[in-house]
Amino acid sequence: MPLDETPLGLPVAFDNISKQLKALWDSDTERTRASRLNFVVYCQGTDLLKANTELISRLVRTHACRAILIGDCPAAQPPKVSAWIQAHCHLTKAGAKEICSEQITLLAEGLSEEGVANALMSNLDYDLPLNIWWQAPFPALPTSPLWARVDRLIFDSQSWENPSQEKQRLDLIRDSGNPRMSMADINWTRTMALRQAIAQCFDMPQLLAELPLLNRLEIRHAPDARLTALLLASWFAAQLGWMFDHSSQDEICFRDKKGDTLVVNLIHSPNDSVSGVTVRSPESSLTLERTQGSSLFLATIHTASGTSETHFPGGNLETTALLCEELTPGPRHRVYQKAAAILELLLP
Amino acid sequence: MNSTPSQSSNPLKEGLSSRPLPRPCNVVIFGASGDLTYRKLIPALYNIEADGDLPATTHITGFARRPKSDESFQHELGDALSKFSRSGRSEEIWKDFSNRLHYHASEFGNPEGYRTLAARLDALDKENGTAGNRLFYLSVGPSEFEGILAQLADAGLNKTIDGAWARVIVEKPFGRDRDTAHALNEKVSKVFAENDTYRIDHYLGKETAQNIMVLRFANSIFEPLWNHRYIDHIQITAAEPMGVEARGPYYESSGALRDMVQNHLTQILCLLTMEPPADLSADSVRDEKLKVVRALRKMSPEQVARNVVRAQYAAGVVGGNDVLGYKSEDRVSPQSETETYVAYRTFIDNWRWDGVPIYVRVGKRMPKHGTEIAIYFKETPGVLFNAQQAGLGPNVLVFRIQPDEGVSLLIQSKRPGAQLAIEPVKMDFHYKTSFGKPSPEAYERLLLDAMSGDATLFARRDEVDAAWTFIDCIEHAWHNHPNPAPMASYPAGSWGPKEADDLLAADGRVWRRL
Repeated sequence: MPLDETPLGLPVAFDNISKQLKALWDSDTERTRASRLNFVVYCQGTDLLKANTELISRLVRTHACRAILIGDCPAAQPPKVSAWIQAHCHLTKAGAKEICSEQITLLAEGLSEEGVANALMSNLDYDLPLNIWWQAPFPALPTSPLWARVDRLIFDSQSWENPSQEKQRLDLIRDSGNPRMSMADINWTRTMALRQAIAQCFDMPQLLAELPLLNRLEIRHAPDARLTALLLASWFAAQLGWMFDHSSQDEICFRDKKGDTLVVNLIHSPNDSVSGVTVRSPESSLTLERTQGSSLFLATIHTASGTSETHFPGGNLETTALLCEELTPGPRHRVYQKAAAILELLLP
Repeated sequence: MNSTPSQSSNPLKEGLSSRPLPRPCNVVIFGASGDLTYRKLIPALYNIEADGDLPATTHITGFARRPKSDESFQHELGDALSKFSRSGRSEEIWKDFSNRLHYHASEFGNPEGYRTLAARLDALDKENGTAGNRLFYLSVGPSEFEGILAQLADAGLNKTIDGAWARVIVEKPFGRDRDTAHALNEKVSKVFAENDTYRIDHYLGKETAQNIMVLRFANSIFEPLWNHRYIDHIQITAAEPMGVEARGPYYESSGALRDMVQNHLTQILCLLTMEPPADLSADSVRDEKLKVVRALRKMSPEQVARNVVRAQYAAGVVGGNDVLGYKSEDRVSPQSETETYVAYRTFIDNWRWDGVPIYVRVGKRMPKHGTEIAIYFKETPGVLFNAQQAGLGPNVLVFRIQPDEGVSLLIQSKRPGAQLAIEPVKMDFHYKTSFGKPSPEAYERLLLDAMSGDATLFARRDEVDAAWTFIDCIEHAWHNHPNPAPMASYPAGSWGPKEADDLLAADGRVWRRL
């Protein structure tokens, strides 16, 4: 199917991008260009260019950036790079100047990894950090010069078709000699509201006392969110010191610090992502459930002293919201690394 | 910025936030019928909830005189929230949040009211596992502090068991001079330990105020220049077009110096000029701030006459409307000697700031609303470009505290063309432009800090005492000296009296135009 160029903006010659961008801004004094990071979206082929452009236009409302969207078609011939530019603008308040971010779209056809890296790096906004969202399988070896320049590598482990392979390749990239690069798994952020709600429930002294006695964890998840569920189970294990014992398709067994068995059941659910979690000990249980159509989790807590219910923010699972979280500077994902180490044991 | 032991006890909380997370508690607001509760406190707590940072079992009890049911209190707060919450009101979140709002009607001096409050809080603790953690917010006039504190103590509400905490947040003014502040602090300290006492100054909760420390100590280019060798002078301005509105009686007993300078502007000045703290703990930061306040040059009455200008606004025009002069305002004495404007020149007598004048002005009925700090750097030597073009002008770094929070830097640049013409250009950072989303309200940050046990952005007792020592010299010269400096006058809607301009003109300088 021929590429619909309309959403990509103004077609420009690759070696004329800077000049055309300057002309774009010079022509309009009513708009303010803002940029505090480079945000690169890497995808393969042309199918995702339109959807990614729409996503960028939403993202720049809170993360002013130079966005570079690259569609990589390594098998195409002859080798060439096509380019488009556009501005995404929004008003902060009535009467104010419009705030704009710029997007460069590159279609790289028949280029080597080095060629793609060069096309990308020649268009970065100088000095600003480079955040790249990698929407394709990772390369077998991290030979591209790009990896040495990345400040934050964003990926979504939920989309991995071969999780073990992707995890290994990701480790190679991580160990490829760029100490500045941080890893950001959108799938981890997807579990954040759940983790926050669970953690807050265990602030209750009656439940906190039950933490060492937990013996069962049930995670209800959509069929395509198995990795999200596994990541959540890995977080529990990492934080509570559970040791992996064995697993089958829908059941994982850990041993706690006393050597007692903990069973994790993964249960398919028709709802989005991970929709519910139940944690049990002999004397208590906590169930968190996202009600369909609600932005909240309902927590039901049973302890020896009775039953109570309370609500927690359910977080926003929309991709733009998850990306916004990833692009917000914060502490390195130390807890994620611990969970990811356990996740590796659970992958087929 | 402090770490609290609570987080280690719940391993699931690790890494969920870059800041200490608050522990579930009961919040009690004294003066819950007041404006602050409706406009600021409840919207702030609601937004903390909406952001997912308020522990789910935290309950809020309003304590005030008027009889009212929980339901009508919730209803009134719901209406106020729709008007004053920065994030609007989500019905889902409000439903859950409002169920945790309670009202307790009692006279502030009635022991029975506190006994029943204690029983109510105990019941909420039992029901919600809040473990006896309590945060008392005194949103009342200072005349009520003593009575409320005494009653809290009598009811045992200041006592804690098993690692729980009881904290008190005190609103300004913290006294009206050093003696009254000392007396007030004595009363507070009899009931709450200093590290459980949170003296709130909402200016410190603003993003730009917090950014002063970040800009100074997280960037290597500023700190080497941050001293008397490179800085010519500093100007701090806090201007507002509003008059005293309905606050006539309060303002009559306060004035601009006590209302703004003793607390907000002195705190800002401290962040701007203090030495780097050893770490980000509350006491390390406050130790450094205290050194600055102590080093502020104390003025004799004669020095006050030379370095301080006080003034009152006369009738004028603001925003196209004719407005009254101060003495004609509602519940203001026609013979009032209260200043609505003050401008002064001060010095910090320490190694870093030796000889650097700091000019501060604060006033009501000014043309614009704005609080900012401007750092004027010394000009380059009078050779090369400065020799060819007179009055190139200095580099100026500006922190805009409100509105339109941000930072700008004025630099000199060559105008394009064959001629060597140099012009100042401004590099401008706006929070709204760069970060898109609105900054949290100052009260959100400060309430969250108080619940988390982080007192960094709250004033410590010795800081308050030291600030009053500085202010008292000026007040003394105005009110107790046989020849006080006269009260100047300025038309409402102007940038202040001529005498304030003269203050800078005497040093060959002018006030910055906002």
